[in-house]
Amino acid sequence: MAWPSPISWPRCAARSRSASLLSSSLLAQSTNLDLTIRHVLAGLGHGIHAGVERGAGVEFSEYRAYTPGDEWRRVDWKLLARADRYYVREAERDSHVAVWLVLDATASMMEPSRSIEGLDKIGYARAVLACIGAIAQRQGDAFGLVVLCDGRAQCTPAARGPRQLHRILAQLRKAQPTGQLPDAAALRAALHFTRSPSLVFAASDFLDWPSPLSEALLRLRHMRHDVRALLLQTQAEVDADFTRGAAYRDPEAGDHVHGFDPAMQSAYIAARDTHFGAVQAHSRQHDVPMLAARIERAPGEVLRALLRQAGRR
Amino acid sequence: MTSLWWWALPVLLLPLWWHRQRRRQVVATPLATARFLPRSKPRQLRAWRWVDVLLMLVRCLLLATLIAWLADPVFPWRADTVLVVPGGASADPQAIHVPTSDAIGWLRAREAEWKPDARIVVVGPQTMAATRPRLRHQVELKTTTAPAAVQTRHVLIEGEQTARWRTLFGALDGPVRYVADAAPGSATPFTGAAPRDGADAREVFEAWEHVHYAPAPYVAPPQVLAVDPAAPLQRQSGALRDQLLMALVVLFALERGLAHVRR
Repeated sequence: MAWPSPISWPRCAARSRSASLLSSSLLAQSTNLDLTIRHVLAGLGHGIHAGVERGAGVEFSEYRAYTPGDEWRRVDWKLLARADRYYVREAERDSHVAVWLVLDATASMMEPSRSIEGLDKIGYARAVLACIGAIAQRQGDAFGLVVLCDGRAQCTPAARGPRQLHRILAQLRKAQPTGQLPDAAALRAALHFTRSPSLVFAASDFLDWPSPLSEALLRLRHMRHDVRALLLQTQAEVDADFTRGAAYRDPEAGDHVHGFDPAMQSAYIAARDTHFGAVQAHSRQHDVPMLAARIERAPGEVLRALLRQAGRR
Repeated sequence: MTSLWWWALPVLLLPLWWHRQRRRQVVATPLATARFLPRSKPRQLRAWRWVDVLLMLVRCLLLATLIAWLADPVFPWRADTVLVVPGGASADPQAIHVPTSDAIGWLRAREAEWKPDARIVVVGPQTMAATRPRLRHQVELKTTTAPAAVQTRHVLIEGEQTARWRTLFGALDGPVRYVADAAPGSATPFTGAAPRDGADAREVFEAWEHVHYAPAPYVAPPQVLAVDPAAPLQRQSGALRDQLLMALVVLFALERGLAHVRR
């Protein structure tokens, strides 16, 4: 199996420790997902990729024409010398796992970081999912995307190759946080990949639990799919540190106004801990690993922690 | 009466009142985890600030211009001046040729246009006023008497002592010369016979009106009229009316345009 094997991952983690991981403040300044992937996976992806390329189970299958985005080291230079054309060696892989990226693009994901300007949950989720997609592409796995926004589930079918990565990145860029989650029926129709074994990465704030999304993830887990959740929070949410005296409204719950002052801080923390404690316990109960991450953390670290979680399974 | 319009200036407070935004609802910031905070009532912020400041300024200016147009203000802007009465002459290119022989009366109606220290010289046959003019500016009369045009009138003398009347008419001096005709003719305006009927009487009256001439004005002697600070100051209306009316039209169009843009 090609996807993060317990053997290859620790080596990659050790290599990446010294690598420069893109910080969240840099992520806030960049809208180019290609650049983000290149920086985040600077130490991360090579470890995984090299381990897989040289491992057992990878056998030469066929040549195909070079397309932009292919790695140069996969180009067959001897064939180039003979035919004066760029050909890429395609390998037969024994992996048949499809990777599915699920992006919660509801209005609550617009939540910005109160300490890093320009950084928000949706941008962070885009970057992490794009990196996972890039890893899947480098490993030769099929990967697809489901964007949940404005009551709809937009599905990009799973496929392999660099073009698929570009397609996925374009869909991620296009996803704008609006509206609420789709209902259970719409989600069931969108998640039609349940017949083949899949690896599902869902990035959300999981403020609604139980919700159609949580039910879909648990159902997938019950169908023996590998489901992993990334719970995104901001530092201000964790510290309950908001502007005193300001008025706030829930972007998904009408025009109700909520006030905040120091006296409410403990009540806020208690309500939040109760909610997310229940979420974590429920997901643990159904064997869905969930990583709670602050968006102010470097995305490389979060990605590493997410994959390490996977390696432990 | 016109200066009372300045008491309408407090009307300018109306646009300030209209454009103020006394209460403003506090804008609620989106917060994803707001559901963990208790609900509160929408608060209103007491803030004294103005909206559409440009439109407010234009409206204030419009009202101020309207009041000024009604108040018809006169600003002292003229300096030393030479007033030329018809019949007089001046080498000063800035001299004002007044349309009447009573330059003092013309000046009194517009005296507010002159600066307090301005001096005025009147050149030409300025008529002598019945009373000494009271003005707030020093006025020097450099009057000259124009030679009167000689007129000839024909009279018909009938009745007794004709010779003595002829001698009397012949002895009259002045710009009018009388010629005694022996018989009524075209030059003689009317006869001394009593009118026979109403139509005749009307003809006689019209002929008398025709030959009547107004008394020749007496030219005032050259003199310097002393400054009288207590003299009543008259205001000539309409000095700035045209300019203010134009400004009023422009401001009104501007105000309508800005109001339309705001909508």
